[in-house]
Amino acid sequence: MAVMTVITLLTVACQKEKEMHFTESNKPLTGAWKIVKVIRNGEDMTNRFNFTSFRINFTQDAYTIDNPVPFLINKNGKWQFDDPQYPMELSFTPDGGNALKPEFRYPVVKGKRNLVLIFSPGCQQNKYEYTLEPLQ
Amino acid sequence: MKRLLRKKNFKQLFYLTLVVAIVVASCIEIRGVTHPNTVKAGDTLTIEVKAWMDPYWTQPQSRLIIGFMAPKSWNARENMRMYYTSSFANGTMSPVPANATPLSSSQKWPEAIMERVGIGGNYINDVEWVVFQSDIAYDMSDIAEINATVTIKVKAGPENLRVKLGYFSASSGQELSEPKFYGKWFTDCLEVTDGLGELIDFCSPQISAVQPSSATDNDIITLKYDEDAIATDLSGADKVFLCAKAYTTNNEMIEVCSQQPVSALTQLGGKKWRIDLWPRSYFNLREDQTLDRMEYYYTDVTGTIKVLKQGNTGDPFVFRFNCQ
Repeated sequence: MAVMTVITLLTVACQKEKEMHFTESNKPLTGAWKIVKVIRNGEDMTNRFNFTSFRINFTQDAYTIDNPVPFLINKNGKWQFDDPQYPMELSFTPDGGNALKPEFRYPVVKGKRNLVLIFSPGCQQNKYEYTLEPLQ
Repeated sequence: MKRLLRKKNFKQLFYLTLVVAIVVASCIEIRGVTHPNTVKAGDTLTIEVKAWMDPYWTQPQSRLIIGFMAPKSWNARENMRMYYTSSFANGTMSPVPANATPLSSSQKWPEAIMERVGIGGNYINDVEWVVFQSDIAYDMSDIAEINATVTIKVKAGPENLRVKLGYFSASSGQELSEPKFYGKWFTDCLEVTDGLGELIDFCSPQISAVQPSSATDNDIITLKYDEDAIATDLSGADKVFLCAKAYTTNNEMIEVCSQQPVSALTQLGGKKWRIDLWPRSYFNLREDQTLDRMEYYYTDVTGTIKVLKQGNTGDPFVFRFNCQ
């Protein structure tokens, strides 16, 4: 019994370990997103304006907007991350317009990926922070 | 043993006295601010702040912190210079880094100051704290008290207004855990003349105010109606509506004046009312239309009672859409 144990240990110990590779997953935006929180110049506007019908629908590289509100963009267009695994930059290019690159965060909140966008739809000195959440 | 006990008691009493003295004493104060009562829009305003500090605690590598509260339209962070002369050292000051926080705080400097000091006696909160720090950090541990004169040169914004400017002083090496660890001061009303637009009076109760004070038709704007500012025929009404005419840059007029829910103000308590709207949607603008201004008044459910600039009389209120 002791001999068997030693042999087993030696056999296992001499096996080459399987290399484990951890790959950071892509950060997909695909799907429909809704607004769950809006801050204007530090003031919570979420329940003071009707943001509930707004939707932004992302496909692989395009987006469409339903029921617009004051937002970064009001026209449909293309979007992209600079790096799908480690996005540092998110750009929206409305049809016929120039690329807009808002300040953004992409945190996981209560198990759900959120998208936080900071931008100025009107005057530059007015900062809006929109938190969006996927519909499902 | 008795002697020992007495000695121990004496020691305890000494430390207790020291603690009480430290708790009661102020450590950082603003002891006066001087500036003219008026300034022309766009001119440089020179302000002197008398700051005092008694740094008896350990604070190596500390910077003098000075906060200045002004209307957002002044863009003071970009349009202000600051320097100090003192019994300890002289030097220049620069804006704190955008993410800098007071010692042991998770709030950024402007937020931390706003929470502790607020906006003083101003009635419109379209103001901001802009925070500067000395360019040089000093070891200010256990040194004699410092009297500093901080000179602020700031360009007044473009709008006609009256405002109470605010001032704040602190040390980067000290938590803002108690009021004794920071100084604050609000001056009497300063008037900006020869500028753009209607007078925005931060110093007096407003029948009506718009926030943000600088906005385009693509911002969300908040119109506030305060019954307490002046008694009118609308005082005590249980419903208040907005009646507005918007004028485009091509001078087209669009009127929205109805007793429909979309124009109804929300009552906030304390006889204060509010409506939040997105002008592009509210006035149903075409893509090629841009708003120049909005003229408006408040009315009742019948549409016969009107609250105007002077209360029951006067012209409608005016809000100009611009980003100055």
